[in-house]
Amino acid sequence: MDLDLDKCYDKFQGSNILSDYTDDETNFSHNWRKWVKENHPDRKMNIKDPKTKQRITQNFQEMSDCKDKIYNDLYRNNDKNITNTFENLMDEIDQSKISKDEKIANGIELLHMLYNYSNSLLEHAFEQDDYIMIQMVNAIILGLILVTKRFFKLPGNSGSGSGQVGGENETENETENETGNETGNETGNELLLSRALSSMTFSNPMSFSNSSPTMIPAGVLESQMKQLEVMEKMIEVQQKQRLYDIDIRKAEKRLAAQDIVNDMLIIERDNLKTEHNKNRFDISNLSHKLFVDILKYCHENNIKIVPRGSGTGLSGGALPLADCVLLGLSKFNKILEIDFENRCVVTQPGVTNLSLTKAVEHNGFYYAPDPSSQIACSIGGNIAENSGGVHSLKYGTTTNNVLGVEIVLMDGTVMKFGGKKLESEGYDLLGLITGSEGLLGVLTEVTVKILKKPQSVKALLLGFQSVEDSGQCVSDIISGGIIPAGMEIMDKPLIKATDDYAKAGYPKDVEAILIVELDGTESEVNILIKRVEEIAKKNKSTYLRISKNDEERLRFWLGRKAAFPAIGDMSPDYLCMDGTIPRKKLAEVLKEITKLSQKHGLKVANCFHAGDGNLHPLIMFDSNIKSELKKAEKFGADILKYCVKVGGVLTGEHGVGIEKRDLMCEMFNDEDIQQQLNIKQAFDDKSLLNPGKVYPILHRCAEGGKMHIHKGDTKFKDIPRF
Amino acid sequence: MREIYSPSSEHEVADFIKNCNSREIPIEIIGHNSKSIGRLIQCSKSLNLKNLSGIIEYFPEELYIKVKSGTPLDLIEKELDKKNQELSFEPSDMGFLYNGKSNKGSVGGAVACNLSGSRRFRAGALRDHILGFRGINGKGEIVKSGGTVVKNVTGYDVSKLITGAYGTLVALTEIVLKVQPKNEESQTLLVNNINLKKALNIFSKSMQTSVEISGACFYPAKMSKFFKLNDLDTTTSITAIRLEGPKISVVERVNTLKKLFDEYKKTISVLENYQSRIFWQNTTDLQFFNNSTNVVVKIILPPVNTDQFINKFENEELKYVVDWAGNLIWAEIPENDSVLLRQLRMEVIKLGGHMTIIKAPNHVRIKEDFLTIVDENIKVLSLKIKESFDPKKILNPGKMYSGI
Repeated sequence: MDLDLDKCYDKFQGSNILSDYTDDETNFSHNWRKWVKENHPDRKMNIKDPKTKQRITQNFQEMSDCKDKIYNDLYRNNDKNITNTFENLMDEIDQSKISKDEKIANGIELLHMLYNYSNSLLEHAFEQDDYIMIQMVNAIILGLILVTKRFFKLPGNSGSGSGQVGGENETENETENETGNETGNETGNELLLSRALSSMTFSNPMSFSNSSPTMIPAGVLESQMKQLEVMEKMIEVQQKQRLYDIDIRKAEKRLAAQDIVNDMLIIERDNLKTEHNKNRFDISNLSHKLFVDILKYCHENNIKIVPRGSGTGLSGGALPLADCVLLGLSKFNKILEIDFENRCVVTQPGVTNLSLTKAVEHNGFYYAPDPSSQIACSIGGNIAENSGGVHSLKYGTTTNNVLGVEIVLMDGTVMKFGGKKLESEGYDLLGLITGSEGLLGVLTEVTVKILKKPQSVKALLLGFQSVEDSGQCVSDIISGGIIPAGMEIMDKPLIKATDDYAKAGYPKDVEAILIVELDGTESEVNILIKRVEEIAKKNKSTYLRISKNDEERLRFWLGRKAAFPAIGDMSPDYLCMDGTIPRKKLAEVLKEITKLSQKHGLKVANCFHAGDGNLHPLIMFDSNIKSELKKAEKFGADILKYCVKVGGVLTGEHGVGIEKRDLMCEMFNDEDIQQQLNIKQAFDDKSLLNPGKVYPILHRCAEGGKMHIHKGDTKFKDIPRF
Repeated sequence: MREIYSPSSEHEVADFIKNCNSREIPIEIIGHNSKSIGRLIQCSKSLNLKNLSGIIEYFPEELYIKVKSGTPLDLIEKELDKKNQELSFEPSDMGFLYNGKSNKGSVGGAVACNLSGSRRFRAGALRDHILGFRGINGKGEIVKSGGTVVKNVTGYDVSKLITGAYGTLVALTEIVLKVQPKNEESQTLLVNNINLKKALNIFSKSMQTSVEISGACFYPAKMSKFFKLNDLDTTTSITAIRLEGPKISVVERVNTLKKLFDEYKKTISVLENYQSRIFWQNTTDLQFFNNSTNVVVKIILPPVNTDQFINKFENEELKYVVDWAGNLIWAEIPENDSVLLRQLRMEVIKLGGHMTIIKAPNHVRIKEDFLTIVDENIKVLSLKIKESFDPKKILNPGKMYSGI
């Protein structure tokens, strides 16, 4: 049987999650290629002994045959059978009348075989996000570990300074020495063990060679054994607490910038996914103890974690990283208590924003912050990003609507900030957590405020011949003492796109549209409408329509809410930026954006939360054309820099995440950033939670002294820096 | 002899603190010295920020005002009033409580204490209105966060952290506050002579309608004697609900509530705009404890437990007023009754709330806990956060908790 080394490499790449354990900082892929070139120039490796080959093939066939059975057993939570299968295979080999070294050789081949098998499953599982598959693979890996341990419980292993192997059990009398080991038995066996371990942990590319063994560097075997232990422990933890969604993803692909764009487009997919998996595992019955155990374990073993809600974030804040465990909380989604007396709701963090509102609708209540992704985004994620929404001018953002959280810190400490009472004493830790983008702790419970629906809601659709006029109208409305429930501006390119897409019936001959929504009692709304009408006329509006009923009002919003999909329809790809500016600078900023659009050669459409100054330029590009992605990013960064220049901020509601991380220095100087990093230290002293997000990495290294920069090489070279 | 240093610029503040940091000299930070709040601390040096005064930027149409931290609060409110705007969290004038006369203090002080008035349960507290700040941390470094816009998720929301931190994290030099348009009309619906339980019920019912109330307080009989309003009957308990907005809307909503509480129609009355404003101003300013020489505490509870709490201490010499629709109890107890103080605190904790000592004679401020510590982990975390700003603990050391 031939093992195609390139295929192996592709499969194994990125599966090394334990790189932190090796002191050896050498670049894996460089070594791999070098080793392959030197030892297997034909890029294939043969299994020598035909009998072994046959036996392995047979076993593999058996495994393949019972694959479905295994799958079914696992589905019914009975993966003990997989371990049994391994045990049986092992027993067979063990009891066969071949030499010890042959057995060992068989063992190694079996490992290779099974590892192949498990990795092809793994790849499939990751692509499908098939949780059950991943469980199965874990079971297989446990089996591999078992095989290794059994096969290498060899007597008399003196260990060339690299620690014991297995246990010194019964002395075996076989001293045959075949299968091409040139060195002595002891070191030969250790070598084989090392190879076997490497094939599972892939820290050392010497794994596949059966011939011409060389000495193992001291310490490597030890560290490999340690890695093995950790892996085993982790899988044990997983097996023990199987009902949660720990996802160890291969993130190499996902780190590409593509994914920040695709993240938005997979809103649909994520949502479908949840529905699909609804019946599989119900973790909502578990308490925070689960997360305490996970975080404690990871803290003790220096394993990094990325918490993730629904994954609808637009700045890559929950983006999985190659060397981090992804802690998915979207299934932790039960509403725990609805308290109309105290006007609050207590939920688990995975509950979606819209389902929160829907749960209290029947009594005429709702949850105010309503980001456009509310059908899918989780309340835990909302808190992490301090999400806003159309109505945030009047009703505030998430931070003004959260009453309390229960949070688990990286070292497993559980704390409650706030609660059903209106405010807390001491430092405003609740306020600090909101908008902390998953860097300070993992939320396990959330208490939010609910409001009574207003009696009457009406909207005005206003058209203007210039963006300046619409901006001035907004200023006048606010200086006039009116705080509408929502105000949105759309520029001409966006009007055209959404009108084509959603057929919202927008006027075609205007340069800008302003939607103003007013709520309150019936009479109050009518008064306000008249006032807004006057102000609009004063600002030369050329189109004015007032919603006669709820249906018409929703149709005004139809186009605006369809903005993103409309652009998605028009352009192969788009980047959505998120900067906040003083309202009165809108016209100026839009002019600059037009200039930049010409400079970078990319089209752009803008919508603007006129109520609070939050601007969303949508940069259109085609990722198939090389360099357009980079251009789009540069364009986006230029826009954000200009926003800061006119007195605004980098991000109003999408968060910094990875997307704007390196722009933080536009707004903050070294001391500001250091102060914030110090705050982070107070919560997470080892910086294991959501690393690489929000704060520029170089600052963290230099100051914290935590990262070893080896020969000028930064770690995780593969993580692109935008 | 305490040395008082009164710098006039941010740089001077920074240098002063840097200096004290290197020599590990503790500093007490003072604004206008209007509130003797928090634990009693002794520092050899005192940093007085009253000269950092002035409005830096005010754009009514952008709904924010940027000021230097030592600016008198009433100066700011006067400026806002000219443009028909206000700070909707209604900062209290604590001067009456502490000294028997008006003294709103500095805006920095208001931020450091996070004191908000009666409208807080509707409009949010001061911490919901702070958009950004500049300050000097314990190492003498100038740090800033936030901006002038409402929507901002750039980095940690440090503005919230320093609000209510009583000067233990930074010495504030600049603050940006959100402003709102002033309400055209204010009216107050009064129901006399009902007990607390019924009052809380009224609050709850009102908040479950779309009427939008912006004030809800309860005065037991005898607590309201200080009022001098023609249309206010102070012989019995007073339950008051405030409605604000455009005049037509307010009138309509008052009528809606009147209909809703028809059962009390014999004792319902309404305060019109002028008197209504005075009523709430006096409530916010704690006029009922004017110049108290006893211990005044601020108790925050989930409103469903308020009645239970008050009933438990019915027989004690407990004077109280309930505000924030039942979320807040202001209480006064005799200054030497530390047993009662502790009992109160324990019961508050049991009912899921907390108690802050707002005013007390010095001997109490030394002995008793200023804030309620229920969870040791939070104290540990607070200490770490304190150290992240002020590793040598020189800014107002011990003002919030002993040891922090």
